[in-house]
Amino acid sequence: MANLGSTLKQRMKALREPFAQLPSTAQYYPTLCSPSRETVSLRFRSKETPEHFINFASSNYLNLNARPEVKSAYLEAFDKYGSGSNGSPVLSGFYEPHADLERALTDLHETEDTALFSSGYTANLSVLSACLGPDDLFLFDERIHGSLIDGAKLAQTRMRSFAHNNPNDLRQLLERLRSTAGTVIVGTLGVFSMSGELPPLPEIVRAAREHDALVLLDEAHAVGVLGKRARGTLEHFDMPASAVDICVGTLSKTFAGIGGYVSGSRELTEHLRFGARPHILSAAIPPTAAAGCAAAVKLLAREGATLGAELRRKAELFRNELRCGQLELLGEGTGVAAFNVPDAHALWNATQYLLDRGVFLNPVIYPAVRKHEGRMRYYINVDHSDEQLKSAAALTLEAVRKFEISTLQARKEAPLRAGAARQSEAYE
Amino acid sequence: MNRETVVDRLKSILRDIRQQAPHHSLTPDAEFIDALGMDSLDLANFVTEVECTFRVHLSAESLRTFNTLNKLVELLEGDALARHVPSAFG
Repeated sequence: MANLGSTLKQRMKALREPFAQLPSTAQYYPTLCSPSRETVSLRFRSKETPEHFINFASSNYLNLNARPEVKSAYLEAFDKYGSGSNGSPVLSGFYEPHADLERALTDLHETEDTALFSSGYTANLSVLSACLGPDDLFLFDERIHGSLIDGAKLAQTRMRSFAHNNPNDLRQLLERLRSTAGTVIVGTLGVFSMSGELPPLPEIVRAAREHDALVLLDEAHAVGVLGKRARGTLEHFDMPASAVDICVGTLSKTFAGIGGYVSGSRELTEHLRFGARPHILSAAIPPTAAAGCAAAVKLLAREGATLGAELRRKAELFRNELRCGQLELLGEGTGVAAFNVPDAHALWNATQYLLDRGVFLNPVIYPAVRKHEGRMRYYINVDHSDEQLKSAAALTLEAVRKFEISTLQARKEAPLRAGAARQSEAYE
Repeated sequence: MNRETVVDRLKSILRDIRQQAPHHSLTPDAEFIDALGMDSLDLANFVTEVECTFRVHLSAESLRTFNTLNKLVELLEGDALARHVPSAFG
């Protein structure tokens, strides 16, 4: 007779391999007991009572869900529409707030139209599985988000990675492989959330266009952070919305709700609404979340310039404090600060040192990054005080010294391929 | 294209994808995952390169069974025979 327990035990060994290198999983899966903003109260599994922390583990970059107009939007939508959507958007789950949110996002990104999805993950699964097939090709930065790789797998399309942030490697692959495929989509991220790096977007778009390839840009960690109005990486590079074909975003970071979206041409969004199985087979996000996110999007449209500039100032202050301690960081100019700690025990110990002193962050290991690329990663919040940032940076430097995280370990991540090494020299 | 040429081409693809792997480890019977340390992304890249080079359809899953260069050559030979494409192996 089949036994679920023994089946799971067999699979668990392989699936939990990344966590097995850590002394325990006690730093993961905490229970939050407050909003997750610049500070947070939470209870770890090994503890009985909640503790209060300065929070570096939340992508709620701008605290838009603390604003009265966002709160009222949630409450009013609950009174008018109830809690859940109770249906796929295609059938019966698409309410007035969903339509309002689509319009607000379309205005924000200055595109023709926007389609909503139940999560950012579902948005990426949807867009690739609906746009590519076995004879097509997905070319992607080797450090792209796993949801896009899963989308390519669902599409059963050919997939090939190019060296990280290396348009020359992309160009060489396009020259060699373009003629073997029908549709080619080139994918990259607006901000690499595990390193805080930006892509060389103009060069990547140019390489794609030279070879008749479409471009997908995932702006999940860029919206609310980059650009003169904080509308994302396209704005940061002063590129129009039409520079890319598919703009993917999320509602669970800067907009502090739940859901994902794809913004672009009406032809694309209508294709996804009726052709993407992950979309059709999922319930829509709750109307309360749609209303709250629409209010947050409108807030960003009005105040993005001020909020984005303040967030970037604080992120730079934090990065400078770490750099003054001779720590070499991976990225620049975004809302993320990160450095490599390849030794899993050192990573766990340094994180615990900070947790014990009231600083909350997550130790990042595979599969969030590639194997042996553990890192300490900090999300900066617009309401972190300068004192909080300086104090957390000082504690981080103490932990780095105490656990002998060497300069070598903390240095920029090693390129995965030789092409990347050549390119990083060219770009530095 | 004879078997030796096919093996050389496959080795060249593997060297490009697994540049960290020592050259002496690229033997015909080295297992892609256990001996060469390939992860799922490497396997997906390898499948695409093999497909485009030999004009065949594979899946990343198939490399878990045909998990060495020798076994992969057998798979490609079988595929070429099944499709009556003698050109791949001359």
